[in-house]
Amino acid sequence: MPFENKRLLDFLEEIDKILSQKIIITAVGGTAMTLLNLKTSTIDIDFEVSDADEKILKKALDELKPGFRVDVFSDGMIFSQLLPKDFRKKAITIKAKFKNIELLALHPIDIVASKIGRLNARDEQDIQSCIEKFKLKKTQIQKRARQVQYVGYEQVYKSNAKRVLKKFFK
Amino acid sequence: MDETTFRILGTLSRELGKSFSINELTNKISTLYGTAYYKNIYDKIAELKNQKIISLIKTGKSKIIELNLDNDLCIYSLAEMELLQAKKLLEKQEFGNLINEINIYFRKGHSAIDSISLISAGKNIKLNKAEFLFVLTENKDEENIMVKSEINSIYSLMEVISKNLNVKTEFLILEEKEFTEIASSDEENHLNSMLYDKIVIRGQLEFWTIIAEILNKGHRIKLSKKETDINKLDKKEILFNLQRFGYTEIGANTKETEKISIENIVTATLINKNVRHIEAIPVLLAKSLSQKKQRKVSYNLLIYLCQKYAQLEKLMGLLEELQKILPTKETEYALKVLQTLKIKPKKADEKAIMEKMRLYNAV
Repeated sequence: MPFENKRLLDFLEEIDKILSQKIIITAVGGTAMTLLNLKTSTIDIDFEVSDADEKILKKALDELKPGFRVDVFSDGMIFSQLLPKDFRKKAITIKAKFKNIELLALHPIDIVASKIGRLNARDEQDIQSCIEKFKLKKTQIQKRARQVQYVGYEQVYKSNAKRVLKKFFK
Repeated sequence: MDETTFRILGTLSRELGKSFSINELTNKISTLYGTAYYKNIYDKIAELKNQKIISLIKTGKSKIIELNLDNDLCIYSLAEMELLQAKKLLEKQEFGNLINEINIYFRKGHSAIDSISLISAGKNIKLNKAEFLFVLTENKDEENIMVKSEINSIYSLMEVISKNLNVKTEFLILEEKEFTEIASSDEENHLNSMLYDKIVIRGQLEFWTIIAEILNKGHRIKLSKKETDINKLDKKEILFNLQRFGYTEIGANTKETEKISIENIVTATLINKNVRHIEAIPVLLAKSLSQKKQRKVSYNLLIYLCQKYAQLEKLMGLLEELQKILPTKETEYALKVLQTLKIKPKKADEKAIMEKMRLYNAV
């Protein structure tokens, strides 16, 4: 079930209507890439929120009971990566007419950093897209990857990072 | 049908049983459709009055508008308005496939279905959901075989449609008698919020004929713009209504609150996880099925709500115990539906339920 930009925003509009207080949602993964027009659609909906906002967002999702899966991550722990503390500062604001939602999209450098851990074929394509469209430099990715904490065998992350740099920067 | 007539009838159809001045109606149309011009509406109302589609009743200095539902032309016009609404929906890409699937699977061989409506289409499509209301014909056959067979068929076909379109489907199936009883009830119930924001996609004339019959018998239909949120029912409301349906706790100080339907109360009770109240559900259902003064519980509506709020396993467990203690055709039917849905019951406390049913004279 692919979600393009408009569908994502329409969905968030329904969440926005029932929130009783303001929250900050950071789109991550394919959701972030779709909102940044780095890809046309995503099959998963992934959001990150602060620990405090997690309960509020989950309550809204429970009330709406959408017909698709929404994964909610909190406090920068995205997939198996704990992103550096400044990820929200670096995130890109998505302009939308919401009353209660401040919508951000993870910066492409952090999208890359969050995909290095798993690095399947789809992740590689997404990383390539981020690098090309945002003109990310090898040194930027190297530096950022070193700041990520990986929940898992760290050597896997390091080895994947090397693979990414070798493949996309010749 | 011109746009002004469409908007007038569309607005009045959402406010059944209510009366408006032309000014009030103009404001309502403006809220619903974005724009409304008093002069256009004034002129059109005069036309519709001449056609006897609406009545204009003088009260004091104002004139009050009402739908003239004992006139066939009014019913046909409302059906035409619904058809136009459905057509406008079909023109939108996101709804085209959905309505197409419904038409493919329900076009032939479903003579027991009077009408199919799509509920809160705009909101639900954003959530990748589709919510439907099926109204089935009144079957004079005591065993209700045709209707039961149709219900099974609907469950199967909706599962297919859900998989085909990769969309979550929720659907309420009501027999005509149930629909009439619930719609005309003075209790807060889920059906009346569904009817506020609905588009009839099949059986427009049949739908409005039923509504006209309800209103022409002098009943009121109290539609509600706000969707009933069973999660947010107040403890006091639950206690008052539990008492209304035959369950009181000693020492409980219940003040009168709004009357809420038994289906909403049972679902809210299951959600709240209060064990004593949950064990009382078979008491409520047994009393509801045996008494004649109030509307009997609609298991179709109860199953729909419990499915919506993910309480089917608990419901099934309770119904299994109820059926052992006090077997009825209605509970048997409900259990068959739950079996069709492949629900695994959550075992209920048989002893506690039996004790409660004896204590409250439900057995």
